[in-house]
Formats: sequence, structure tokens, C-alpha cells
Amino acid sequence: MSEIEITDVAMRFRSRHGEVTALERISLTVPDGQFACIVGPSGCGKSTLLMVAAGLITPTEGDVFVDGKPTFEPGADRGMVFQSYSLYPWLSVRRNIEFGPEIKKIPAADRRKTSNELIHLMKLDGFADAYPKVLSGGMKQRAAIARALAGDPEVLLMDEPFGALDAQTRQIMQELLTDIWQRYRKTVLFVTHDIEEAIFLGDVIYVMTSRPGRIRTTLAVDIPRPRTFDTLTGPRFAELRNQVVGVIHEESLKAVESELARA
Amino acid sequence: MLNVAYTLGASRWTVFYKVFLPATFPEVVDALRITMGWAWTYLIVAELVAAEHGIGSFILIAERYLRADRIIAAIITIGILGLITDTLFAIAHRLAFPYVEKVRA
Repeated sequence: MSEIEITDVAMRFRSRHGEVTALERISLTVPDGQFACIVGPSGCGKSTLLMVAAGLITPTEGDVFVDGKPTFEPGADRGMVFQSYSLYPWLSVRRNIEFGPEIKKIPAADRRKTSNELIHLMKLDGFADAYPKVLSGGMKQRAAIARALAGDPEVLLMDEPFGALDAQTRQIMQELLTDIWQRYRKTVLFVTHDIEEAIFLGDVIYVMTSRPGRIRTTLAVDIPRPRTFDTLTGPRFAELRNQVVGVIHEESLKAVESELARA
Repeated sequence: MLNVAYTLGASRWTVFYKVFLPATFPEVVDALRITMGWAWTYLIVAELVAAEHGIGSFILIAERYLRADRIIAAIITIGILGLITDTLFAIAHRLAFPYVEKVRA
């Protein structure tokens, strides 16, 4: 069992123009083994929500529970993958992946086994001893995912991990991620602005509104797994996409209008 | 980078010596290399003002005898020595931190 529950989380920042509400009373539960995606227009606070879930920022109100236990700090139970390549440049790919286990003081032989397995799964064979600077964008991000998995977290938090990749690489990475997820069955909370990505990967999609960030709609993605490249051209995929696009478009318009009204 | 470490279960102290120090070390050495130039300048200035030996005082004595050739030779020596220490620093940096990505704009 590894479930993450966010209850009534609100986030307010003080700025020169008064108080800004980034998130307003957001509640969601990702049950064990579910792949949940959060989509929303840019600036809706989806990344902030993920940072709250990770414990990296403290919300103004509300709590985060992992397996029913409240959490206030970041910890190894919630592994995170960031959008920018966050590998440590002074460590080889293998040492990067073994960073989490090393902190946990797991014996070298076991660490090695874990990293070998992940290097192979993430198609990084032959690059174990290379420094991150020689890796391509996609490889760096695969290594970052491997590092998050090596810590064996209860929940995997992903903040637009493929946002900086080109479209072709992104598609390959999405397919790889679904394979990995089916193998490990981690609970995943995945933030993206890419609607197709969310439908392709997710069991559930939470559509967020822009400022103040709220969950506007929850959609269950009833496309059977395993999903492959063909899923993208299916009729159900198009239906869901149109649905989400409609909601997001409405929200983006609202965001632009409210910004114009303020100006 | 620091946030990644926290989500991997690192404590503040672990983050300091496992992430913060290695992440900043190359730049610290870079800063030392630049500071070396200033140090070199001040050394010569100090010798010009109050020393009995060294390149600075050598220039001062040459000036007294109007030996421009000696002064120019001293200036070139200063330049060459500066270039050598700087190159040594650059080589040491490359050897010590082979992982640092060179940014070419």
C-alpha cells in the first residue's frame, strides 16, 4: 500500500500587489499503483502542488498524507523527477543512480544490483561510467527517472519530466515510462501541460483551473493497457483529448482575460 | 539539485557535503584562478614600493639608471610568469573536474 492524499491544500503568496492565491483548497487522493496526471494551463500552480506533495514547500493550509501518515518534510518515500536535468554533473550515471541507496547506507553490492537493473531498463547500457555531460537530453532524463526509482519510493512525483525534450524523444520516453510503470506499479503523480501526454500515461486526469488553482474536472481514462503508439490514433483517445482541450481552452481564455482586466 | 537530494531522503548535513560542496568546488577553484592575477599584481606593486629584491625592486633600480631595456625585460617576465601560473591553473582545473561542461555561447 502506498497512497498519497492531499487534503484541502491552499497556497498563498504575498506580493507587491497584495496576496496571490496560487492554490485553493485542493484535495485529491492517488490510490496505490495509480498513475494520476495533473494538467492545466501554464501558471495554474500545478508545479507548486507537486512541490507541496514532495514536502519541498509548506502549504498555507492543508496536509499531505502518505499511507495515511501526515508528512511535513521531503523524504525518500516520495521520489521526484524534475523538468530540468537535475543529475549531479560530478557523478557518473551509475553513481547518480546509486545516490539514494548510498544515503540509505545500502551495501555496495545491493546498490550495484539495483543500478545495473535500472541502467538496463532505462536503456543506458554502456553509459554507466559516463558523466552526464556526454548524455543527450532524453538519456539524462532517463537517468533522472532511474535515480528516483533507485530510492524505491512509495510515490513517484514527476514535474513535466519530458517538457524539455523534442516531440519524437518525448513519445519514446512516454512509451518507456508506461512499460516501467507496469513493471514497478508505483503510485505516480505526474504534472504536465501536454494533454495527449496525460491521456496516454494516466489512469486519471485532474484538470486544473488557472489562478487560483483549483481542480476543475476529474476524468477517468478508460483506455485499456498496455497502451502503445496505436492508442494515440484511437477514437476514444480523440474523444478524451477534445474534452480536455475544451476545458483547458476555456480556462486559458479566462486567465488571459483576468490578466487583461488587471492591466 | 538540492531539492533532488531532499527527495532522495538526504538530511541537511548530507546535502551540504554530498551536493553543495562538490557542486560549488569547481567554481571556487575558478575564482582562485582569477584572484591569482590580482595577487600577482599586488606582489609586484609591493616590491616596487618596499623591497630589496624581486622584479619590482629590479624595475625601480633600473629606472634609477635609466635602463629602459631592463625595465621592458622585467615587464615581459611578469607577463610570462603570469601566463604560466594561469595556464597551470587551467590545466589543473581540467584534470580535477573533467565533468564540467564547457558553455560556448
